[in-house]
Amino acid sequence: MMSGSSVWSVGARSSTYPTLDDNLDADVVIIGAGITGIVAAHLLALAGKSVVVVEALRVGEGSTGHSTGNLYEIVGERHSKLGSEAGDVFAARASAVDLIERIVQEHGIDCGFARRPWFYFRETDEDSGELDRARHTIDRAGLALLDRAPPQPFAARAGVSLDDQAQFNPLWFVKDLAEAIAARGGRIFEHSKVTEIDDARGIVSTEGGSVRAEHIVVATHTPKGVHLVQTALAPYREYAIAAPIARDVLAPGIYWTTDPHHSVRTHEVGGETYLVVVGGNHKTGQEENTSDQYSHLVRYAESRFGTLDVRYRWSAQNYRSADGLPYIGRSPYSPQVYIATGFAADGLTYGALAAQIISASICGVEHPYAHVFAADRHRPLAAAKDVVVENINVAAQYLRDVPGRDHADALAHLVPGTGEVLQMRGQKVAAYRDDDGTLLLRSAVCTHMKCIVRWNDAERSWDCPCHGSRFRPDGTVIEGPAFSDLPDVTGSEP
Amino acid sequence: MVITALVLLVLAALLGAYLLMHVLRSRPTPKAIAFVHGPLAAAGVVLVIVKAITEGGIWWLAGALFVIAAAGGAWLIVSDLRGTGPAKPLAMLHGLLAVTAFGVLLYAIAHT
Repeated sequence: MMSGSSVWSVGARSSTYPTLDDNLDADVVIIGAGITGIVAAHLLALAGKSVVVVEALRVGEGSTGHSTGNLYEIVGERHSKLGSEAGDVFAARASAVDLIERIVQEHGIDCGFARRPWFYFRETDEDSGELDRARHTIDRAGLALLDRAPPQPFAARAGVSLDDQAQFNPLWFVKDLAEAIAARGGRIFEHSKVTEIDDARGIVSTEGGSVRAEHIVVATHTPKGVHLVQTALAPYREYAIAAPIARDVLAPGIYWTTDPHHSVRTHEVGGETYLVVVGGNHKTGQEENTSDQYSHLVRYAESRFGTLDVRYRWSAQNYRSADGLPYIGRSPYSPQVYIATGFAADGLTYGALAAQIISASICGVEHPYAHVFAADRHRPLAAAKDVVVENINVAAQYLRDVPGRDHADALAHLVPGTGEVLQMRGQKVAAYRDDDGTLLLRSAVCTHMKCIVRWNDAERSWDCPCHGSRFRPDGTVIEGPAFSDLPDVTGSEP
Repeated sequence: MVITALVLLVLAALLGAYLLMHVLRSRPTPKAIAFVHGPLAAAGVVLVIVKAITEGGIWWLAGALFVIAAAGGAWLIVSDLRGTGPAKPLAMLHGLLAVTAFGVLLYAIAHT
């Protein structure tokens, strides 16, 4: 089983891009080569802008390459958050799906893009009302809902459906589009982690170089560094598994269940059909046993599709905004900086939409729906409850940082492949013992805003429960708002 | 009210001293302590200011010193959370101001 690798990576192009080791000038520098960054780079390059993309990992291998590959005009579970703006939101999202389809067709991108039906249904007699809320919101927006039951093996008690949504392989899409951008002279850099954003001077620095640009697009899923918008965002993780199944077991489509929410689809690659099941979300860094999430998914899938040979399992992070809508556009505090965050679990479509809105804004054009998602909007009535709840939650995480007695002796009992936060010489230490028995000791204090990280056993990472920064066992940043790695505190070892 | 203020400020001072030790040793400050220290001190300062409104005189001096110290404390926690870290000189000045204010408060109590 490939733990951490998504099924989207099977057969993906292996193009590589250099690491930034020079000081460059450009019209626009884009931080992050996921769907938001790459589609924005594509649109800006088409508009004649000189664009530089810097990516900490590899193109598409962050959240985009660990997503569901579903594209839809409606939103996920948060229908009750949408008010009168639902129609605009759905129309904007539909235009983003259309954009992806157009790019696929124009560039002949082989990513399995296809229009598919969407089903949302309840499998139990217990009714939480979520389905009715979705039906009400979608009806009010004027979309053509169908009373169509999902096919076997799902046993739906009630449900709704829409035609003309879409599916694709998100990793293949962004990798192919990146190649097209590079072929037209766009500059893309991988393994180039941004260490500083100097918005006053318009300079983005990495460990090896820098880019000076008139516009900075932060397409990193959440803004890097400390940003006020983070008080209105909550980081969540969601899990996925993929296993081969017979081709005719499930017709292609997007299948969402409510109570609890699962997303099910099929994916064909290399002559095999895979069943992809997604679910089990929780606040980042606030789940004790993350490996259980995969077990739950496997049990759910096997109860409907029989015994499965799970070959891929992965997870991804998403950020929920307090008022249910993403923040897209000019940063309220730095007019030359653009942010795109709060996509919840609807990130592929919102990512493409963000690319449309931001690239239009940089080119001096107002996107027709930009005002709906404006990063400087104020919707206190819609946001207040979640802002209060989430920030009480953050404060509660800080209050867990209590001084305790040193227990460095616990290091001896640390099992290979596991990590634990220990108090050593008066400070919190993130201790990890690798499979070879080597001990790695890093500060457990998140470099973003000083919360104490927690061990994530499913992904072998240190996750911050406050704002979602994640670090490898050796302390290097994986994702989230933190710029800096967890410091090495090996000298603290007794 | 004065007794309550004294108790709150003494507790805040003890926690503050603990935090100052961490700052001076360049160690991360335990945020639970920092997040309790601030509200305790703020509650005590509010009571001192209420007393100053009713009594006037030297109570105002104690209140003003506490407010300046509190502003420094707010700056310290923000700079700590933002990653620049609490500056040692500012942390010491914050503590010194608070201790001075506490001394003035004791004087005010003794002479009222």
